Amino acid sequence: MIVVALVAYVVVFHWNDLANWWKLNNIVLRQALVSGFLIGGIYSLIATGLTLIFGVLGIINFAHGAMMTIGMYITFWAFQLFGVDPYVSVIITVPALFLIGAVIQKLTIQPVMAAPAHNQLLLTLGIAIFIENLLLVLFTGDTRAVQTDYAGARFFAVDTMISLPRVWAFLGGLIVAGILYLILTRTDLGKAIRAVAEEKEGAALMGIDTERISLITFGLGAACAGAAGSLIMPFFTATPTMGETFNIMAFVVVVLGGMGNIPGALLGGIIVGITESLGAVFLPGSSKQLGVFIVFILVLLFHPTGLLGRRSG
Amino acid sequence: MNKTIVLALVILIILAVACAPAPTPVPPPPPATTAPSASSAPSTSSSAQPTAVATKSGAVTQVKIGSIHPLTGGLAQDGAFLKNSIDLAVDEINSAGGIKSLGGAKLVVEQADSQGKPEVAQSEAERLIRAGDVALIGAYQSAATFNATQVAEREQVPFVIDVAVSNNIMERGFKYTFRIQPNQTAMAKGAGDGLKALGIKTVVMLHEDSIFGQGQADIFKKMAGDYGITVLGDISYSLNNLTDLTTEVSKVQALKPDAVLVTGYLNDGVLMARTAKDLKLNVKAIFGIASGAFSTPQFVDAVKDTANYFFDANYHWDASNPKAQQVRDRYKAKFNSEMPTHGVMAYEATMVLADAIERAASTDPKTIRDALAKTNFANHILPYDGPIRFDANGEAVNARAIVMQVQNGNIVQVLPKQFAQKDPIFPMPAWDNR
Repeated sequence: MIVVALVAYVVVFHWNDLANWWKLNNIVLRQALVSGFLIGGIYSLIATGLTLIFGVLGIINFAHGAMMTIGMYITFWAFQLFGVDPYVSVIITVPALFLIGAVIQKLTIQPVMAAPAHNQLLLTLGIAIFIENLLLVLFTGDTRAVQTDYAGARFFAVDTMISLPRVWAFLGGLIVAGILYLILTRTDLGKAIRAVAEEKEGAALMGIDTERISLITFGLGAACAGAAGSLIMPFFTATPTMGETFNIMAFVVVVLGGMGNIPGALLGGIIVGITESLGAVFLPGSSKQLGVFIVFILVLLFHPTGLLGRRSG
Repeated sequence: MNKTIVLALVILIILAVACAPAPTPVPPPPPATTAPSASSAPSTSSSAQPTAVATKSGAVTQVKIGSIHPLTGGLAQDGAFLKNSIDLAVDEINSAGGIKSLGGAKLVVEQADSQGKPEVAQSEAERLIRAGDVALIGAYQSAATFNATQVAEREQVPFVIDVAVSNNIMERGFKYTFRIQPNQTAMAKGAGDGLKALGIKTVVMLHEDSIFGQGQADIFKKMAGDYGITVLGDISYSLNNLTDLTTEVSKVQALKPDAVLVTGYLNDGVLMARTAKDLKLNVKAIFGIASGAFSTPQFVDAVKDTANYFFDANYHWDASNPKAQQVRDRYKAKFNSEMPTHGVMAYEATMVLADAIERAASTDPKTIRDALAKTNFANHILPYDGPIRFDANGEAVNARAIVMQVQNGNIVQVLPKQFAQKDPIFPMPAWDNR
């Protein structure tokens, strides 16, 4: 009632202000929706690998952003030294990050698989800090950017700008999610991964090598982070701590969409992107992320398993 | 999955957001923390033994000064520039005969590492003073400088700030702190003069919202009227989790200002420039105030042609002074890299300090402080309105920011006239015509 009365009051008595505001801001709003949708696709792309690792291993991987940063640096140096196009360098970053992920899993995650969740969490946090500082030692804190001909490519839908590299990253995210989805649903490996995710001991009893599956899954998750690193490099800059920027948002996306749920990560990413972008229209500075966390808390309150999450317990 | 994990995660995320470390800062340095510190450290006045090594006859053979900069950590590269520049200045002073009023005593500099952390800068300041250094130079970051100068004040040892922009460092009534570089007010003044000369009437502020960007914007807004400038809007963004500036820049676009005034660091500056290009931001000028991006070679390197026509009011060496180029050539010959602006500031800080020691003819920190207060150093290579002199607060009265512009990928001085290497290109050509 109060809300309706308030809206009615504003509409009746401040119609001119509203009309003026709309005149000034309707382009901004449309632009915010479009760019929010696109940046949301990038959040999805990063969250895909994260949600896979959580769904199967039950590990909350705080090193995901740092692994993406490795992907960004590989992309940068491949471009700088050999002129490899950032999109082409996906064929380097994916296997490289798969290997790095597998090694990290074998050496550090596997021994603590049975440990309490907070220990695993601290471990991945430690790995993140290790990677960040290793990158700092190797490549200094300098900002690295690749400058391609198509970096500024964009088109205008009437007056709304659509940035092409972001569209490609978005589509790349869809492809990565699609490939993962096919692997999970159509291959024996995928069946084994899902079996381990569903019931680890049962899967082991059926003769599935759960350690090997864990290794592959972590590698796949890391490979997704690597692909994300390559795909965002045309419009983003790399610094050793850049992963942190995306880490938090990727976690929000994963929980929002339902942990372990790949379509959920896609949906969650887009919701977060649009909410954040609209937040910037109405709210100054740091508070632009307020909306994201309000949505996040509401979803957790009313649907604690996330938007597309089903399993519980 | 169980709800406890989800809840734990929520708490963690909120914590992580709340505690997210600020992104790696770039020059100009980040703002100071306002938290006063050093109050808990025990006073070491009695142990602060001036100074200098004397021969049996009592003649001074060397004068020890200290330098505190981030030599490791995210700012290590900048720290190295500062350290090298001070070493260069010290070498030049010594090879020219040292401190003549002290019988040609050699200047010796102890290089300390702040690790980019205010608390380390503070403890290093204590260590250097206890080791007998007669004066300190530092500390590149406002927060680190804020703490280190507090120690120097307590121990009554002069501290010459080479780089650190925040106004509040000098607003504590300290007697032993002197600053070479222009402060935030001087930055805003330099920007205002430049904008007025270009004939800009309306602006929108776009800045990061820590006290570096917010503080700079607030100071400019107060002064805008003096230059006949109307501020149409004030749009801020946070460096935490900054992934996109499209909405912010399209808000600037909607307000249709003559110019957008930007204060931020390197990464967000790169993002801003790319977004401005994507959106074809239709302003006559994109104008930085103390920007950590627009007048740096790293910015030009990152965005290439997009950097052209960007303005920045900032500190700089006097590129119209041939002596500045000679100093930079000597630096290059010695360290095989270009000497950046903050390096020049550190070089000048050392020269000003050596000049004060020369005039003090003493290694007593208090005497050197008094000499510093009477500084009238004309032989500098900064684009200032006269010799380096300090006011009662220790600010360099003639310090000024100058306006630079990226032209053909080169950063050139364009305003004011007396320091201009090239004329400003204004208005900025439409994005479709470049």
